[in-house]
Amino acid sequence: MKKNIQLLISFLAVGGMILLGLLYFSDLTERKASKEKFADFYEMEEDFDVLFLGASHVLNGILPMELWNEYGIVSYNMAGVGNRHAMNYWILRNALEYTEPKLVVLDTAMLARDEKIGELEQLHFSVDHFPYSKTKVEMIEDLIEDEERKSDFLWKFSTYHNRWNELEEQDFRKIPSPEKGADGKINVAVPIEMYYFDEDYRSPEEDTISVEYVRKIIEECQSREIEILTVYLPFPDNTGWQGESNRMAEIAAEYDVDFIDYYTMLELVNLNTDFYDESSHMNYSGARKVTSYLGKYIMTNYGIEDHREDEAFSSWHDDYEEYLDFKKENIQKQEELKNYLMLLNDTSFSYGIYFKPFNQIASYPVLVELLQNMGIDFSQIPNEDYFLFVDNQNGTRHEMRLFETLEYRFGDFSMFYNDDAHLELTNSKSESMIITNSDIAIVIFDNRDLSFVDQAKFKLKGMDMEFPEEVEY
Amino acid sequence: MLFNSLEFLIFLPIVLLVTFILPKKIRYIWLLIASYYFYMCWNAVYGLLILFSTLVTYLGGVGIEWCKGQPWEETKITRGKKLCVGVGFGLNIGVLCYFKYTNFLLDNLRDFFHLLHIELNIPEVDILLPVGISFFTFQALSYLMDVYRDDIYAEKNFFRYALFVSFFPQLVAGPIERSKNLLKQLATPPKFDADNIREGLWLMVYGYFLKVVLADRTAIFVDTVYGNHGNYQGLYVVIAAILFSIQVYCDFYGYSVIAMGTAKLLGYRLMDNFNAPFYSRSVSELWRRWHISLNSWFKDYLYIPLGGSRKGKVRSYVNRVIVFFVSGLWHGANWTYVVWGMMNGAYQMIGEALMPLRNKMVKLLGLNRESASHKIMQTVVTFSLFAFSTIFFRASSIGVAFEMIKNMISTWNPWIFVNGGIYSCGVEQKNFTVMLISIGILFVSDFFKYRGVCIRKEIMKQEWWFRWLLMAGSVVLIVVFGVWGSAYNAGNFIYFQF
Repeated sequence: MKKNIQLLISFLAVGGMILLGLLYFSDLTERKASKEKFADFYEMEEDFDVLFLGASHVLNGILPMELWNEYGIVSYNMAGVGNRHAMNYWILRNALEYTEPKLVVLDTAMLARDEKIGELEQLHFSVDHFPYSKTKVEMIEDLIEDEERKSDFLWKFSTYHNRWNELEEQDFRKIPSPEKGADGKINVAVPIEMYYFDEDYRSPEEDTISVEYVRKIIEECQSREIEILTVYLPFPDNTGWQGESNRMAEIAAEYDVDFIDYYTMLELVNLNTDFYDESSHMNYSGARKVTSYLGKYIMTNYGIEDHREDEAFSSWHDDYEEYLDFKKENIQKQEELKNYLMLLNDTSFSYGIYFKPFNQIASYPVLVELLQNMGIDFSQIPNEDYFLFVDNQNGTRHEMRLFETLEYRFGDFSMFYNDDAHLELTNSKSESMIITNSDIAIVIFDNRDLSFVDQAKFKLKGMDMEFPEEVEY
Repeated sequence: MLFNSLEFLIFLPIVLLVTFILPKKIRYIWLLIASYYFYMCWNAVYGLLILFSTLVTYLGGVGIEWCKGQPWEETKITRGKKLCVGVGFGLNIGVLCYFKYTNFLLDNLRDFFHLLHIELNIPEVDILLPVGISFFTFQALSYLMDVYRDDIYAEKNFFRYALFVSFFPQLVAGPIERSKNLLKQLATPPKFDADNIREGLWLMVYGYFLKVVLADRTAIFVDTVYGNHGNYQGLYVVIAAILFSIQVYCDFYGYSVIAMGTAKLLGYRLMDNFNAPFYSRSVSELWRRWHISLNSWFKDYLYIPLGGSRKGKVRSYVNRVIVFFVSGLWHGANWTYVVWGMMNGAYQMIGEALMPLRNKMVKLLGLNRESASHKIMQTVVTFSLFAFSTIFFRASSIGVAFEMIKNMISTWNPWIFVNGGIYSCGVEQKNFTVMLISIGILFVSDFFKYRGVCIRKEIMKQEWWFRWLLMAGSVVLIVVFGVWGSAYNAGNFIYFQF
């Protein structure tokens, strides 16, 4: 009898140790992308005002932190790469167990898709973070047909345990994303040629699985008295995606739901400067424009409160500071002129930009458009040494030309033309840099503390280069 | 169901619990039901097959006992007994051959007539090979022979005998148990014993390590090389051959150890099917330590009835050729298995034939056969010979095997160890490291076993906290490092095809 009791005790003890060990490794080996994206979602004690649903157009194209900064809207970007509308429906259903938003914004691209899910990896990214619950089980039962694959989602360890050989720092200490679910993109691509289809063109003509689930999303929101705004985010199209927007306009009318169509959204962006790839996803510049527009639309039409003075949301100010640090790091990582210019269409930073006389910028139309995007009309810049400082902290601009003896101060920095006719920047620590020994140069400062962020110099190499390359001096 | 499946991990505790709750008298009925359920999870029709084999050999045994009890002349009794054995063997081997060798025979017939420029239009017959048929057939036939030889009395209880044939821990991949061992144990059900539970669990943990961590990991490298053999030369083929030897060993040994552990939980002792074979110093010794239950079956029920070594050297060699031929064919319906079997037979016979010469060389060179260096050399040579033969075992055809051997000897490419080439065969560097560490654990464990030391028993003598930590740590590491889950398919045990 004693032996049997000892056996029972050891069984329970060893079983407990095994369970703890497996739980630890299960958490360690799980791919963190999903958890990092949604870490802040679960941290919120108050309800979100707005949830954004959709695929990668939304993931890259709507920036909740910009909405917070500009309008005080508290929102979360729930979108995922390749999310079909069946996935969006279940993401909403699961999300509603943790928050009750006033408004759901649904991008309706992929209406013509007649399947419930795309790649399994995409589904993992969007749903792995949801804790185990009845709704999650229902979601997996509905979305996955293969019984073996169901267990991959319900027991994630079976999928991820072999990641032991890919572990990185962020597996051991979680690094939540500061973008409140968004994933902004940095690049400026040459877009495909836009083609406008006939306004009668509809896609799909018959109801697809995606249409069925868009209806379900609308009905779910309406049954819970949650407002719903449907949109069709912009991107260059010559294959007929626009037909989905036309079709969605009809569905939205059926339910008496607002719909901002593709063509309206297209007018907000510049296809030459605002896209990360040739035919699909906005970069930060495009995303800021669309986000700003949606923010204004939401505030005007849905009675969402501005929470910037609300004590209950004071932590969002800290979150925004982290977001600004994140943007600063993004700038510091850049090496290409086009990306610097694209990112500087952002009032979070002040910057100075220098142009050497007889530079070839006019040979690069996209650079000219990017400068235009920043509010700099290149055609107005004289053909001489020219430095423009854009002070976004005070909303002013200051020009400096060669032989001007006045200096310009910004924070601890002083800018002036030195005795060698070079534009020089110095600070109180006697650190200095020359920026005129290049065709174009940029210096960037953080508006929060007027500190130096980055500087970059570029030499234009000739007409055959698409974009100039940065060179070290 | 596979041992390395969730279904089995649910099935086993339920079977255990009910077994020890039930009165001893009827436990075997419950185990019989559980065993048939276990087997029929693959295919319900298989249940009829095993039932047929059971019935035939049961009736054979009863028939033999009946003959023995008749007031006949000795020769008539012997004829009667032989008839029972003959019918039993004939029907069972017939069924085995039908399922296993029909298409092989038809293919060879087609090829033979093709050589004569005659095209035979023999369609392929769609026959699904029942899992484990070779194992339970041999187990049932060994019982029949044991009864014939008066080694045991025929089992009168049909259900207990049926359990002997279908006992689930060893049903689909052995060990092929003898009636003297298992049937006797089934007749006296053991009581619940905590030590059996501990020992059984330790055996199962080791078995799962061998299968899930080591065998299935080496399989990735092996499958990559063999699956694309034209692209791999030189040392890639050498390493694949070495790893396949380890794979087949760990796969089969792992299953056997899990079977032993499972049976131990229930209080039954199964035979150890492997005894550190890679430490053997000769191919003969290796075959005494490898798949012991099968090789002893062939020795007892084929080699000895053929005359063994009692009828002269030539006859002994002939008998061995027959045994290795049949053994090779038992492993699969392909000439590659026959070649593999015959190679190992040839190794032994050549080794024996050259023994006088080898003795002279040892004397001439002043070698010490008992020195560690000599033993290591013998062990390495033995393993190399065995690994070389497994090229045929693993290759899809003899032509492919020869092509791989040609690729192996035509290129010398040791740089694969320094330029990362070794990690380009499906097992990247970290996984390769885990594989090497696991092989190290295997060889250390087998080393102690070869020396007569049972590591498991030594562990069980240690302090409780050490045992707890080691058990928990082992299980967690097997689960983490094991090759399972959606990135892999739950690797079937290799010997299931037999």
